[in-house]
Amino acid sequence: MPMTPVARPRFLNLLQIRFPVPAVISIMHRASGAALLLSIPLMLWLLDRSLESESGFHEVLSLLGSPGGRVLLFLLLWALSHHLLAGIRYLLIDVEVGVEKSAARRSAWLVAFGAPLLALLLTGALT
Amino acid sequence: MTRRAQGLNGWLLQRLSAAWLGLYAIFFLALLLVSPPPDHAAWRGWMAEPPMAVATLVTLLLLLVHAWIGGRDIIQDYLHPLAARGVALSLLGLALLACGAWALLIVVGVAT
Repeated sequence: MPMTPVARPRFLNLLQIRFPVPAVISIMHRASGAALLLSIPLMLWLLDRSLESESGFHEVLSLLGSPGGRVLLFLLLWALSHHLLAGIRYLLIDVEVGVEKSAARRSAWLVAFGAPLLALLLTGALT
Repeated sequence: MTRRAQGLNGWLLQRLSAAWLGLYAIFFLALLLVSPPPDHAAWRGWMAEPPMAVATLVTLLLLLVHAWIGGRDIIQDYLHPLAARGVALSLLGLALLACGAWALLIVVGVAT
């Protein structure tokens, strides 16, 4: 016999819903993953070009050192840092480390601010 | 293809590949920070070392597996019409396979 669906309240106004930090970094984990996925061809091209020849190597270096290149590098390093830090957080939660609400919120804040900071430091150090 | 890496297998594969990818990313960035290759010959020589070439090849392969599982999950979450979903999944799979072939050519080309 089919069950009659229970009428549950719905509130889907994304502009008014207040997300807790762990929810925000979870969405960003997905978004950064999608961004990294889409950047795979670019990464392979950079790898290919840089290994191919002396001139290709310098082309890649000057590309990454240009203002636009540095912005793109920062954004990709941010995506990578966020995906990596949030990923480590999820692996720890999988083995039941930091599951408690206060600990989970603290680590979420750490990821949210640690990732762009790490990306900024890496961009500065690498270019 | 959609039968592969589903359910618990996909969940586990995503975590195992994540662990390797994370370690490689940290290692690679640390190497670039500590001793950046000064010129093209050094960079090429670096990537041609058998351990580095093998590790990089494994990384690129696992990256594509990881990207497949993650991309498939995103498509299945937001794309509901069956035909559109099939097309999107096929395109993603083909694109990743093409990237895999390209990655193989790059790394094998340098190491041989």
